Amino acid sequence: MKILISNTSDAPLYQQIKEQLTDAILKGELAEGDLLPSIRAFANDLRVSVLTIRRVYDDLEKEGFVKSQVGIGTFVSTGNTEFLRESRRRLVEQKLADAIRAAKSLGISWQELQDMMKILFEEE
Amino acid sequence: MLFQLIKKEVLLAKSYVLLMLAVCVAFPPFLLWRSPEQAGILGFVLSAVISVLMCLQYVSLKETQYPKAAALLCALPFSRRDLVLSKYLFSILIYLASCLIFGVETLLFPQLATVGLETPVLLFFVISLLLGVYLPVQYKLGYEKTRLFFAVFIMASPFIFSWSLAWKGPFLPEPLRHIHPLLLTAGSVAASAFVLALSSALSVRIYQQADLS
Amino acid sequence: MEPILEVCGLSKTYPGFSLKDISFSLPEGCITGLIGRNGAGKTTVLRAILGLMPADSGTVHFFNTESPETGARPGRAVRERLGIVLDGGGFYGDFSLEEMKNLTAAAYPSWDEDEYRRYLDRFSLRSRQKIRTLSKGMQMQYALALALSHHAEFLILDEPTSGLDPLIRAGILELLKEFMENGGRGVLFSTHITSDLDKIADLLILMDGGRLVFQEEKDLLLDRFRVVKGDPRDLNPAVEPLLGGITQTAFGFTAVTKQPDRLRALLPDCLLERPSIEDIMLHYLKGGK
Repeated sequence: MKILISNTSDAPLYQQIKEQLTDAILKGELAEGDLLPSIRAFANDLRVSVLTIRRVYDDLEKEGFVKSQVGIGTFVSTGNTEFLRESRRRLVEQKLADAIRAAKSLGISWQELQDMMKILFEEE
Repeated sequence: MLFQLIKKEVLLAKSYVLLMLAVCVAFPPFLLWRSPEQAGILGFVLSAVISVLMCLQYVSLKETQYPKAAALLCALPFSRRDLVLSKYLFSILIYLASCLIFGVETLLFPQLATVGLETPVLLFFVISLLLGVYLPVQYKLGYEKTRLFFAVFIMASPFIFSWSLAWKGPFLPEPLRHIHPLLLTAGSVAASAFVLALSSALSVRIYQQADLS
Repeated sequence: MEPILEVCGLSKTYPGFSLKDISFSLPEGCITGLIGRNGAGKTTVLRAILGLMPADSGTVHFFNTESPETGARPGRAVRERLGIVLDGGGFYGDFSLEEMKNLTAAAYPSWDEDEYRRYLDRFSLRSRQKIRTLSKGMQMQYALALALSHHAEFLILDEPTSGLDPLIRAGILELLKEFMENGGRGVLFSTHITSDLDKIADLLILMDGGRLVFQEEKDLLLDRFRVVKGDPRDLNPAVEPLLGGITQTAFGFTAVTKQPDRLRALLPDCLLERPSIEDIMLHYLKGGK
């Protein structure tokens, strides 16, 4: 798992870490039952405050990505990920629908739109 | 815990304690050579009083030299009461050591054995009075100011002693001579204990409120 | 999270200096940095917390134990759970390491001699050496060895890294991190070397002139501010109120802002970067907005 913290990003540290962890879980880099680093060790490695990591873990637990067991640690819990992946998928569909609607209003052809998407997809 | 604190005082004044004990050893025989008839009593009183006061002064000097150390000890789980009591006990220990040294010397030099058993007890009362005044004053005013006050006393001491030498009368004041020696000894011990208890309670009270920053 | 230390309304007046109504609360599991310029009152606060001087008012409450009375010193049971390093050590320089250790160990029922030996080995300190012959760095290492060898739960350190070379400083920070690996512990240390705090602090307390300026989570603080770099010609009355601590050269200006979004709208070409604690501290102490 890799987590990169950007010093120029406008996103708060907490959000950067949380998003990257969520992504790792959704992509399956972190599997069900994997033990996450202890709060202190994680904070030391990322050079952020334990309070930030604690907040990330608390939020992830609330959203059902992880479970914490007192005295043992925090584990990945994928019970919820199917649902989450589904809802993210729906978000993508929705945004695509918006894009298609905008393209149609400008008279952009299907072929043009496909090329555009291809270029953007590869750029990312 | 108190034992380690007393040990601390001894370590602080280590070189000085040794010097003073050497004085206790050497002074009475020296007097024996200079003025044999007074050697016993004078040798004992002078060496005991000087060594107790000088050792205590030296410990206080060292404490002043490392003021943060006292603050650290107070921040550690030591009680301020024990920190104060260790100074008293250290002084008593030095007194007992000088008594012991003199005792051994009377065995080596029988001419010195003009001192009765009641003398160390009475002198202990005198030392208790000195400590009883000195330590609370020092806890209140600090080492420097107290030393000034004390220097006056030290400078006056030769006059007091020459006066006491000139005095050919009996060792004890008149009214006390009629009391049974045993009673006198017991009374003196009790009075010393009372003075030390009162004085240490006062010192502890002062030190409890002290600002160590 | 349980608070490990709660300070409430601490005040103390000296001629020429006073602590004014200091209140903060430290949760367990955190390293807290107490920062401020020289004479801001950092040492005085630490000493007041340790009960080395009677406070005029306020309470100091450790480990969520029973509420203490106003101005009361922490009791022996509490002090047994603290590890303490005073500025300059506070040792009798004439003592050997062994002698000072014996004295210190006598105060703690939970003294761990093996632990102490391990620290001495780690720092290559020799027991028989006199304390005053130690270098500044070694003296601090020795002070930490003494403070860490009785299984303390909360460390209070006054300027543990000042005047030390970077290597020794890094070693000391490492030691503090190790200390924090066990749960339920805490560290409070004062410093004016803010780069140390960038590395290990979780919480920050800034003091100035005997007052508490803020207590805040380090990351939240760093998230709120941005360092701005831009063209000096862009500095105009619309922009300036958004900036604090402006320094200007012929090539550009550097400042700190709390409103990066508005600034970006006004100056699309400026650079916005994550600040260091020093940037923020200077911003506050120079009286920026």
